[in-house]
Amino acid sequence: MTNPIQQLDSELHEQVYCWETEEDIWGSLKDVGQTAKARSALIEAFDPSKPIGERSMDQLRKALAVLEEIAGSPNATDWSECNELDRTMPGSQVYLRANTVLLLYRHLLWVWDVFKQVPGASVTVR
Amino acid sequence: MNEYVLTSRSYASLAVSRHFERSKSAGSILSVREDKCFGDDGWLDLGEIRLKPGTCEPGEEIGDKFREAVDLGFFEWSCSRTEDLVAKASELMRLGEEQNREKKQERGDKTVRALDAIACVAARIGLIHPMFDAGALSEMPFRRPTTVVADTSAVLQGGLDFVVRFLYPLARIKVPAIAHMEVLTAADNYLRLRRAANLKDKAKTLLEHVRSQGGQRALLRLELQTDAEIERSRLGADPLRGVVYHDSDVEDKNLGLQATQRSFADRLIFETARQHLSQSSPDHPVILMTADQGLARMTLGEGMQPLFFEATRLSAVSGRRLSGTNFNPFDGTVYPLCLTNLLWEFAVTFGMARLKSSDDNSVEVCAIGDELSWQPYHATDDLLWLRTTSGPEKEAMKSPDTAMSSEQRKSGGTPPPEPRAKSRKGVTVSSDEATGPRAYAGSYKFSLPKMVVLINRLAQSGRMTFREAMAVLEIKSPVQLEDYRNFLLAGTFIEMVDSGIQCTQLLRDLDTTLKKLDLDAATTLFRRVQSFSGYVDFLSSDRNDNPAAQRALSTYQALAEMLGMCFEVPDERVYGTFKHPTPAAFAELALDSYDRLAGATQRYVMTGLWLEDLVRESGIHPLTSRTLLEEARMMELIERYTEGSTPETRFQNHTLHVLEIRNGQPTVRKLGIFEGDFLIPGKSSVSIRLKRGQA
Repeated sequence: MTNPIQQLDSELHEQVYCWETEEDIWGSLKDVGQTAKARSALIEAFDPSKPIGERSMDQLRKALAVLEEIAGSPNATDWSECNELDRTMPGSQVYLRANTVLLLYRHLLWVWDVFKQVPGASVTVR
Repeated sequence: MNEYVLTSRSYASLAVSRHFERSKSAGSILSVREDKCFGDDGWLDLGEIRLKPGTCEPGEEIGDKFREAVDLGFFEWSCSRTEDLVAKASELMRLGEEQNREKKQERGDKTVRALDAIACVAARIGLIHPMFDAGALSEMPFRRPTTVVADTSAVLQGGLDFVVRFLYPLARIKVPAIAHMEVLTAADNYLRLRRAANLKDKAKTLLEHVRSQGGQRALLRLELQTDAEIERSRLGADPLRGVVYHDSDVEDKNLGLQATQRSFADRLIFETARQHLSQSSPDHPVILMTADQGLARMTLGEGMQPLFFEATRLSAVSGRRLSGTNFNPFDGTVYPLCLTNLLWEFAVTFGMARLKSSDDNSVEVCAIGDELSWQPYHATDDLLWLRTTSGPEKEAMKSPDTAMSSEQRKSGGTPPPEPRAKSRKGVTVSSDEATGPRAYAGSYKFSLPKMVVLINRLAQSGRMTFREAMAVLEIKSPVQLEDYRNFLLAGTFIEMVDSGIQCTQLLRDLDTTLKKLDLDAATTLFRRVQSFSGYVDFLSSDRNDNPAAQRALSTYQALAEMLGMCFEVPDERVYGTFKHPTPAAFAELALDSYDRLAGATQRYVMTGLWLEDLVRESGIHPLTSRTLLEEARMMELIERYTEGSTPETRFQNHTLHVLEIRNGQPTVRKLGIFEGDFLIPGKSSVSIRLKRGQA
């Protein structure tokens, strides 16, 4: 998530929020056909090589609509094991479970809600 | 329904998991109830909770899967929509019967504000995050210690919990006394309304209830259940009294403080922040967290930074699908939220919370009621009143901290002296099988050193109450005792008795073998536990599948390691170590291994590398190698030379569990095989050189 610090053609931006996960965010997708759709909406649409104008918060809203549709489709996603172990018990070998698509949607929705009105804010996904 | 039983969260988790296991449908409806406002048996449905336990692995029991799902947040909550919630709440409180239009409107508004508490509960327990100011979020997580002064809105609407959950310990938390007092005033208002003979304004009562009880829980949870350290400033004097009480104090009169002033309360919170700022070092940031725009503006105007978040409204959860596991907003890891915590928070905030399945199975949690008492230890131990529709859970709840009925509690009795036996049948087998004997075929997770201590103490005393067993194991939760007990039951080392466990002759035999360090005899006895025996067969390649459940693998591996049956070479795998060659045969294997490592130079090699090579190539356990090396040396089959040096830290995780006798008692400790004195106790032997002997 970046925010322009000057309205210049050079498009100098500062990073205001950065988030990365080691979880397989598509691990909960059961419908392989949906993976391409989700990747296209989120990864390709926010590729750093794209012009900033095409990676706006409005574009993120559209990506969220795609993720919401996938997460809400019956049988499109399911809960699966995460990389994360239960850390409430030391030495535990129990892996946490999650619907990672739903989690990603919920997290990005929060990010969008927070930054949606920041002038000139844009998004990069790698 | 059974009668209410005072219950800890951990035991309620058992009842909740059993509820889902028993229910025919996959989901249950989550509801809340305010006993004075919602009329007879009126419940407000908040949506459906669906548990996601996953499928059973070999060696796992279905009950354990449900239990994990409840404890580790493997659930989804599809929250009801705002319009449905408002309509239903209005119906329950009969707001439509009000004739006065203005009052009707006012009470409708209060109802909507009261229902915002649903979202506040979700925010407080971490299902959703507060909507922070973009500028404030971009400064998170904090890179240096920062003091966060929380106002009352931050306490109520989840801001404070967010800071504790994600920003602590760099965030130093300060809750001004005025925030406590505002919550206390709301509690006083609520109780006054509740005790009134005729409850006129149900919407107001509901609003005061959710604010005061929810706020008090948030503060108590922060104090009693988190590691967060709260800084407290010296309580100011008279002006505070004027904020919350209508007092006849002359000074207050002169100051015009007879009316409660919201803005003055805000000012006092700000003054607390500024006072702290003046006492801190000049470069130490102090920020004021609030959902109040006015206070945030005043803070900015006074030259301080606010940590502002938007007021948490019902729309944040309305019609949403929320998950019990979520992404950490800063490091991307997944963090779990116990389903029982959600029930607990709702029960305290609204008075009662319930999970009810379509086949009428239900679990009900109650925090306040005319027939129910409250005492401080309820808060310190986080106990609430719980009842279920079915019998086995009731048995299950007769736990160390829950054995008194509501009648006993009302009479002001002391906490139960001893726990009662918990019905195992009610926990892990289906209701159809509830009367049959349990096979104890599951896999059990426990601390091996503690288990050895328990075996020893139990063999000495013969009988132990649950509470005594918990004290020996140094555990606080009775749920943690389950795996120890089940493992011993699975091997028929113990029997359940009325108020605890009693050892059998087998346990005494086991203790004797451990004291004699007779690992072979101990192995025979430990293999009475079906799942551990299966694990040993797997290690020795007698079976292809590993029957031990994932959660118990580390325990079973440690036990097998202690008994000399396996050793894990880090970053490789666990090797079975069942070979016990004669000293002569060992001498040959040892020299071969040494030659492989030293080559033609016959130089010193690291003892740990040599021991691991014997594990890898010959299936000989490091302890066996240590014993056989000494025997071979005494028989002059081999000559060994050792050298001391500083062990390399890169090998510090190459350890194994070793059974030893200390002060006459068997104990287990972890030894590093690369450590200096592993091979020859008392003599440094980090490196080794071997030579064929004269014999």
